[in-house]
Amino acid sequence: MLALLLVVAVGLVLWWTRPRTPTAELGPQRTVVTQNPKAGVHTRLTDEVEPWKIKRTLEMVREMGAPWVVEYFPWAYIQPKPDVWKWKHSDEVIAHANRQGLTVIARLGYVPEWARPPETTPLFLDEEHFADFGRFAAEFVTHYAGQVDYVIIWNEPNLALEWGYAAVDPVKYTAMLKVVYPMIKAANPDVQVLAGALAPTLAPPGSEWGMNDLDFLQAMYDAGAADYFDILAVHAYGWSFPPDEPAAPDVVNFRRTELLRDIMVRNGDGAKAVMITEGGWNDHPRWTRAVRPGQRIAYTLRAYEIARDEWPWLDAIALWAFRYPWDAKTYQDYYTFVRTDFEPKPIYEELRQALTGESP
Amino acid sequence: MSGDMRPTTCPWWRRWWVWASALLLVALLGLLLLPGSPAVRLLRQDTTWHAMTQRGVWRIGMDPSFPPFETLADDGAIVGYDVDLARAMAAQWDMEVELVAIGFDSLIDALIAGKVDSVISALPLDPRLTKDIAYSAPYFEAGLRLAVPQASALAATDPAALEPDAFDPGTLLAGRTVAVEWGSTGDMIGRRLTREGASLTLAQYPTPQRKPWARCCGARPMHSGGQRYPARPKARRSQSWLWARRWKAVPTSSPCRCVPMNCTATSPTRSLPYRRTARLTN
Repeated sequence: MLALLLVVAVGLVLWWTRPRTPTAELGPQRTVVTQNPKAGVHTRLTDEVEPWKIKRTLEMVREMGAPWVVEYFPWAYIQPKPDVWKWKHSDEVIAHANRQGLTVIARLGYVPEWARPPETTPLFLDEEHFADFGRFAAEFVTHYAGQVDYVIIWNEPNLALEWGYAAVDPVKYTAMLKVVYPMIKAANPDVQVLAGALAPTLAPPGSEWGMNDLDFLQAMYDAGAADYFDILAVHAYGWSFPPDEPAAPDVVNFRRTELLRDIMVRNGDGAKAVMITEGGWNDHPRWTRAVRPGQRIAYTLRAYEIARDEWPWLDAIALWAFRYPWDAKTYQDYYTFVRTDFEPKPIYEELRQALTGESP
Repeated sequence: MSGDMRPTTCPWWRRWWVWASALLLVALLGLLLLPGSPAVRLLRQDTTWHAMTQRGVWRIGMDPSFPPFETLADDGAIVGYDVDLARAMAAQWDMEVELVAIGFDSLIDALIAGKVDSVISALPLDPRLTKDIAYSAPYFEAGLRLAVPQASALAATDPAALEPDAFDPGTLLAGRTVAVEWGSTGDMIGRRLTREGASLTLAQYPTPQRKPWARCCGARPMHSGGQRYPARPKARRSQSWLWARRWKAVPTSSPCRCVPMNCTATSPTRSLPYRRTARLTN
């Protein structure tokens, strides 16, 4: 009996003194000092578990002079069961972002198991569960009323990979918008709903892997999408081309954004704004679509300039990706501005100088 | 309830039979699993090696866009250090070599899919892939290094001062000009040293080719590439950030001297033990 008590006592002590994830003080309210109010980055805090790293990431974004951040908030993480809501991590991210003076564009997607058939990927959503996704999105914008004013509905639905390996279908995506958009607006009319976020691709007609983004957007309009989003989200990757390379339907480059904008105008939707929610250049030594590090810097600086000076219809440009929680060990690591250990890459320093106007 | 409630007993011969069977089974398993036994040989069978020996041809995937490891000659042939390495190994094994040009992004997939037997393409080690593919021991250790004129005092630095514990780049480079590729890892480290108070001047060049290699050291280029031939086209920088890891002066035939070591690759024969190492990495 004594031994049992001893074991219980030791167990209690160990439990009481267990290592806990330290919280990070929010700190004082900050504002972003910038010469380019459209500048932003896509952060990758979804799987960042340590609060101080969340805070440090967002501090560095603010110090770089970028007022906008796009961040991913997976549905499956927040609502793992129909009646279970887990807001802790997203609360932390939103609170720190707001405290750093950043405007958050929340990307929503990633279907929990309970809302999809067995043996499907978390990127598969059938019509039967559009309303469930709508309820989640409505709950999200209610929970973050006054803190998050922009949400993106889905990501790159023109790729089979991002559409749960189902046949890419702009009509089905539009049907989802028609269900989700009114639910979001009913929950929080101040929220701006972004749609599209299409992957720039030259996939040929009938490809099993994806649909050309220009064709997909037109098909969305044909299906009646115009009344079911407020802002078009665009992914503007430059691949190996400079940002001033003219746009052309058969080329994926930064100015392909202009072609998507033309489609909006042709469909009478020119009054709406555009936001670039992913994009940029990669400087991997061997990836076929990469450029040299110096080119990446020059192209990125120029892209932010174009966004500010030449595209009045563009509200924000958030390039991929500020920092990863851990090394991907692939070419993806060469999209980042800051290493996983927070060491700033030269591109970060150059952007900070350009965006804040401060000398090194 | 009726009948005899006493527990039934197992006949002695049946107990002995069970014990004997168990012992026999253990003994058989032990024999089968002895090193060199047919069972072990079967379990350890290297299907890749088997296919290579049956075919008499070693199919190697490489991305010929990374000189000096592999590149295309004027006649379209794949040439380079990795090609020489592959041919030397194949000669030892008395095999033909078939080089398959594959984009770097697809090399691992091609290996897993069995399109090639091996990859030799200055392939960096990714520990997470070791459950799918077998890496050889490293045969080339890339890393940042400093190229200095042969006559530079830096080239004569005491090797002890270049050991990681003693190494102080801020002091070593104080008052000097260091050329880097703009945006590269070398640039990042140079900026870090500057932030930390080192009084060096960074000379940033848009590409490695623009660095003053030929004069080698009007400035002292901090060469961020792992290759031996810095002036070769498309020379790329290293991915390593441990730039001060193993500093050591190594003379080369160039007017420059590389500090640290690793200007030359280690001996292939040392790094290629046993046939499992048919798949290589740097």
